[in-house]
Amino acid sequence: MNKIIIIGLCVLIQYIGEANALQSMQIPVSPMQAQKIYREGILPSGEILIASTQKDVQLEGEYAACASCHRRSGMGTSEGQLIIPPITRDRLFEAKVLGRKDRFMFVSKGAQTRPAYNEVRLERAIRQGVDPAGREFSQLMPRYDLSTENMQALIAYVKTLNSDQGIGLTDKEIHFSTIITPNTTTAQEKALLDVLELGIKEKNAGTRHETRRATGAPWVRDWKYEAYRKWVLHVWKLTGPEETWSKQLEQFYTQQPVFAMLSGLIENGSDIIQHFCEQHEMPCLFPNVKMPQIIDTNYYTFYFSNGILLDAKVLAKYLDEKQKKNKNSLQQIVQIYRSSSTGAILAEEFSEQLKAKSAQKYKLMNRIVVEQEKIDAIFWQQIQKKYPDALLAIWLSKKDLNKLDALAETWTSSTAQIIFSSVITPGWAEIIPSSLKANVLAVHQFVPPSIMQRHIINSNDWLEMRRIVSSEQLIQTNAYFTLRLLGKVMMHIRDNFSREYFIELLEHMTEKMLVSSVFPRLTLGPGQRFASKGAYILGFLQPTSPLPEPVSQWIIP
Amino acid sequence: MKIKLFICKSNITVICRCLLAVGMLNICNANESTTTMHNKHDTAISNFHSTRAGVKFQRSEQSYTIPEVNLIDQYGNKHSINQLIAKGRPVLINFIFTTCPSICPVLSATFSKFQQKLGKELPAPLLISISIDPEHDTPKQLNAYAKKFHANQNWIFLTGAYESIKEVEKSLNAYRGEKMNHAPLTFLYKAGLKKWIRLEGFTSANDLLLEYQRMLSFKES
Repeated sequence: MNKIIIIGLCVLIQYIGEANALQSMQIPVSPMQAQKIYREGILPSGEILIASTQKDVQLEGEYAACASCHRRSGMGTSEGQLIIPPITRDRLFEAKVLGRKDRFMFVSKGAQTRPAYNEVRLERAIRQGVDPAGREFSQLMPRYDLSTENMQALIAYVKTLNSDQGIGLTDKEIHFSTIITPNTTTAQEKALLDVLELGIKEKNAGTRHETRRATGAPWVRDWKYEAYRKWVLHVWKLTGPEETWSKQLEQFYTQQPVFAMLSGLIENGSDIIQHFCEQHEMPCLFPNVKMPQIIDTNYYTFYFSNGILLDAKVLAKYLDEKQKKNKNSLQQIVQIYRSSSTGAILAEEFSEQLKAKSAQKYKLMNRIVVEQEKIDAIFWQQIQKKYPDALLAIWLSKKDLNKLDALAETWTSSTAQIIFSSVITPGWAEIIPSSLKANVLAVHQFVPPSIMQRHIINSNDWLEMRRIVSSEQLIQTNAYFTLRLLGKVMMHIRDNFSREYFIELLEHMTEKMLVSSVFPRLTLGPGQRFASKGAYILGFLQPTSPLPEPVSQWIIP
Repeated sequence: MKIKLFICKSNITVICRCLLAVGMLNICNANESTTTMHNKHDTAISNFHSTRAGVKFQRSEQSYTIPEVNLIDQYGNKHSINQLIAKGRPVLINFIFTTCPSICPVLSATFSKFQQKLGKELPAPLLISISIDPEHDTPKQLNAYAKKFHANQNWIFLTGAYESIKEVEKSLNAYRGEKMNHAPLTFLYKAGLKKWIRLEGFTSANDLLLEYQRMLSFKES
């Protein structure tokens, strides 16, 4: 009998042992998978994360992901009066106590103290919504029913979130860079660097005492001084062919890591620079680019607008809406552009956009100007003869348009139109002969010219007072805006030098900027990477009008 | 049990107010959630509806006049917002934007659950979610967002010109400047009623259903 019991026990022990072994053989959740739970709300099994909030409401996938509220940085957010607290390792795993200084701060009101989290407490918080002090969270914090493995991996991931990554900075300095590609003129380069260098010099002069105080005796020292850093700008000038740029960028970065990239003149090859920023997870703020490329996985690169691609989309939408009213008529469109120019890219995107609309209503033709070909009076006469009733979409630079008079002379149609893009042909309005004005339109993603100077008065005044005004107004105004926004973000980031937090603040604060820019309205939001999203169609209201005015609403494609 | 709970909470409120008087709210507030921060509405404390410790929304009845503006839904169709409401079908309105991190996913998930919970006995209201980030929220964006929250044909998402949206927000006392400064708000109305029901804060789907039933029982003026 005893033997049977012993054998039975042995079998049981073996069985349990095997079961344990089986359990431990389960594939562990990788850090990348844990990141996916945190950021996207996707479980390692591929299923979406589901959590409950407000008692009977379910959040799913990306909306249940921790990053939705606590953000990718883990630094939390604020929306209206709602505060989402930070959950970075340094915040969670330390007790929250009321310090001497906190007592004088308005924010210390309320549930500000709690013991430190540990793994067990954090699991309880995520599952049951109870903090280490035993208080129940607001129902807004979802409750999660995760498997043990997923929970452990998620907690391990949360422990990697850091409010200060320490890249591109020392105790006293924070480094930034700006990129200048070949093919930019010396005037453009000077215009950009004048603004960036002087702006940064002035900022450093303004905060020099704070950085000194941060190193002072303990009774002078204050937490707020510790956040101050001297800004240092590095100019990364790329040379040679595009294929070598990645290597050059890597060399610059190894020599001097920077926290973020500011403005910059990127005439072509913006994809290389964007790829570099994404790869190094480095914020890249508003470079001057004619053709930004955004793919879904981009996170670190910000642009003022979608450049010429936006122009193509707006124009297609505008024409399509007009065509809808003109039933049965077929619209002929001729695009005129030089081969391998930005105009060619605009032409390609425009024809794609048009195809997506009601393609049968358009007859789209292209007149490609080869490199050696001159655009003279005969060129325009031929165009006129060949396409008398077509809409001419002219994607050429201003220097190619000095014989536009010839087009005006032979122009006979009262209905046909000519269209420009303000990105491809800045200052197009100045070269239009009066007799053509009634027929000219332009896609214009900036503030209308008649109110531009009033709109950018802050940057104009700033530049004028420092005697650094140049003809490159767009570059200077853009650089000025970028600097002011950087100042605002750096003020709020305090000493939480996390690049993701930097980006979240940028997303949050662009809309709050009092400094205006050449764009009518700049706004961002979580995940939004183009600050301006639409364009006007401009036209001359009278043949005598010196400046064109919007003839359409603000069009968002 | 419910009565006991109620008394308990009332006592807490009383204690809170006493402490507030002596400037010691810090201690009492320890248990308050971040959703109860509309201090300016202190006088309306009795109007706070509690679904569970710390979860509260504020209910009030208001008179609003909706402006005549045209907005576009997630399919690209034009709607005059005040005509939508004037048709007589009950409406529930909230304000959202598709890249909103915290408030809107909860508001949208609540609408989603509400449409699920709504039985066949009650008339289906029109759910209207108006984007307060129209520059980004094109009909295409809104359509994708609607699908993520399983919106059925009784739930439309509206966008439009920035100024038009602002006008609608202002008419419902919902305009808070830039979008990240917004508040969680839900409005219930049926043409013919004197007042709108304004819910400020987060509700459960069940709370919303009860409010909806209650509104349907109101007599038309």
